[in-house]
Amino acid sequence: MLVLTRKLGESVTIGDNIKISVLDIKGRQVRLGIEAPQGMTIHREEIYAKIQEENQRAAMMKSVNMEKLARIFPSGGPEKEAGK
Amino acid sequence: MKISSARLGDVEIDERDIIVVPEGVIGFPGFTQYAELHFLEGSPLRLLQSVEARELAFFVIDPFLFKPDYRVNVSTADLGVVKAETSAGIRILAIVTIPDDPYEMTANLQGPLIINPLTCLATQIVNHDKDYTTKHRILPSSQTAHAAL
Repeated sequence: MLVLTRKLGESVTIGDNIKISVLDIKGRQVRLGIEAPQGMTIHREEIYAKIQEENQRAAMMKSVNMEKLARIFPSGGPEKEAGK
Repeated sequence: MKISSARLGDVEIDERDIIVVPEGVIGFPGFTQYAELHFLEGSPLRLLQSVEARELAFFVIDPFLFKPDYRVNVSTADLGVVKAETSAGIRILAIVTIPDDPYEMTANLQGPLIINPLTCLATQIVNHDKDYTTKHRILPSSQTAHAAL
């Protein structure tokens, strides 16, 4: 990992199109300004990680009990026998 | 065409209905084609089944059914992925996690899927609104409702 020290108001540039500036420092918090091309998505890492984790949990559907699920929505039964 | 689902077996779908997720669902890159399947009559849940991997599927739901005031800020970058100029006409779906007791199912309102019905392109976006979590309860937690099942 490349490690750089920056002061308040200073920036780093990545490639031709990305610029990250230190806008404010308050105690343990740093405010960053990011300039990047429109098509680029930027996320706070922990939120992204949380969504990824939840997706993984949601994809573990082998354990889902389809009969119990059908009972929750009683207006109909399963259109197909699940996986049988 | 026929696709194979670990949940539903072989399913016939119209190729034109395939939803392409160019960047994949977060954490599942490389799987870009999905079919939205109805599997339970009377249920608001759908199965978003990977066309490429029979084991990969997500339950999804229209979040406005249980959260009418749900707000999603779709960025221009996100609109670009689904090739839409504005967010008008964009469909929103939430991925549902179903635990051992399905009554406790939750929807991920922090990472909704946006779909452009005109291009059949979709992407999972990050909703930065602090009001929403990855585990939003769908059904009322009331004991009586639960006991009625």
